[in-house]
Amino acid sequence: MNKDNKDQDNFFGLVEKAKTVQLTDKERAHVFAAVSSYVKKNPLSEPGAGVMPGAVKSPFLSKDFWPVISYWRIHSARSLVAVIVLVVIVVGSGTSFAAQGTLPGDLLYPVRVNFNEEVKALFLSDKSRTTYEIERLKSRVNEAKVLAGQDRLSTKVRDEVVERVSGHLAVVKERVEDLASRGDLKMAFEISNDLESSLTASEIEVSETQPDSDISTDEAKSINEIIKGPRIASSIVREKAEDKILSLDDDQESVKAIAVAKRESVRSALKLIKEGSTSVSLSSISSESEEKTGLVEQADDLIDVGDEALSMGNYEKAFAVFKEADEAVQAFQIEKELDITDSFESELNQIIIDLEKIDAQ
Amino acid sequence: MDNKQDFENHFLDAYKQNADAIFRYCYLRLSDRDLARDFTQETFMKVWQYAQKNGVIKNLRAFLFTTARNLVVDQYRRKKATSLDNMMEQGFDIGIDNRQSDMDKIDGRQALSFLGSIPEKYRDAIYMQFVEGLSIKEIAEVTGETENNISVRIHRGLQKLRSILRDQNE
Repeated sequence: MNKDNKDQDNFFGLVEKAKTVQLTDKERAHVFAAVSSYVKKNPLSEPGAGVMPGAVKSPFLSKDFWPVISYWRIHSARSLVAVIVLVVIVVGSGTSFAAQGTLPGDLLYPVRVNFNEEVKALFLSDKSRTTYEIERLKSRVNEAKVLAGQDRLSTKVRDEVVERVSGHLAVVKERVEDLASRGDLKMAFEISNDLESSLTASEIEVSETQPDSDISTDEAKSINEIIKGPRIASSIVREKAEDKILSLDDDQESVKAIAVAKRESVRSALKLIKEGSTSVSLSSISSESEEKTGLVEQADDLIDVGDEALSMGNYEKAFAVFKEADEAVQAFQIEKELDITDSFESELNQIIIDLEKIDAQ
Repeated sequence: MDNKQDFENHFLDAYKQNADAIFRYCYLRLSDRDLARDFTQETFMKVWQYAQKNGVIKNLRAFLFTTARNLVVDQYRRKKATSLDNMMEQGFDIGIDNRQSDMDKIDGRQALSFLGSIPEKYRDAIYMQFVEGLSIKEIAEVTGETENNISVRIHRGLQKLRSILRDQNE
């Protein structure tokens, strides 16, 4: 028998032996008694609760029913009023109130998001509506964190969260683009910059989740996957606003605003690096290579130069220098990530080669 | 019989079918029999709590493993688990099914020890597929990883296990 066959036999032998590890009859019965007692004392509250595939669900539980409100809001205010009146009559104001505080996966959550929040948005000005959509987006992220802490952030629920976050982001983007097209570049920049900063802060907060938190490392990664897309999208919108502002010669206030914002962003990132934040995978700046330490020093020097340009009113130069500092910080972070992934990548390449050999046999 | 009663019966049947598997998984990860038994009970209660809050559970078996895994991860963070090797040195009896022979008792402990010695990121995938028979898709759902990642982890985990087995036999 060759070595590979022997290894295979040994492995499957171990698997069969491992399966013999079980609860004793007494233990099994004891745990069953505890679980069934718990089930009897805590009955399911709704007929549809815990429903398995194949069971018939009420059409009101279908999320396809609710988006009609969003569609009508965009296309016909008069029809929307009619729909809202109809929904209130059918669903009842009690349901709407009961929906507050619900989470994805809860029965009345669609009522909260598609009705309560949408109705509130109807009465806001464009500017307030944009701020409100950002708050709704952040609420979706916070709901994901709560769900993770309750072991309820399944793949399906996460996908729903991602879909809703994308919806809120789309409204914000539409608003920012509208502002930019009407020449209010400063507001367009501020909105996209605020959103990006909020999402970056959330990402860092989740990445630095403490060991005794309810959220596991895998869950934190899952939540950050939800945040990442909108954060990148908002950074693209912010950069477009910056480019447009810089292309104009006469809006010095806006140029100053973007320069100051860039400085704050770089300063925050440097602070995290120096404090050894886990989100940038650092133990201590002093333990890093000379090359990487040099990047941090370069960023520090550039901030000083940028501050001087700001104080002299040379906002274009200040922005350009702060941007260079930002690039140095990003270069540091990339170098750091490359250290971690280098060994992983070489192992992965070997596995791919091995898999190809197996396929070829 | 309405949906509530159907689900209750289904849930209690699921206990009978999966209790040993959940216990085994908890024991593999925690190396503490009493704790593994308590976690088994806690897993089923938490899943029932979820169902009670009107969550829909499509794949109960995968959901049980997801819940057990999350409980174990939280426990790891609270305190470092005693290694199974240490338990074996102390002669701790992991209570193999009484119907098995003395030879199987020893092999069962060794088997878990070998599986437990695979690096953590491969262990769950290997264990869930080969010992508990979960599909790649189910394992991906339990761990929150993509199916491709799970395939790579299984392959890599098997390589590690092969080298461990060879070292043991030499």
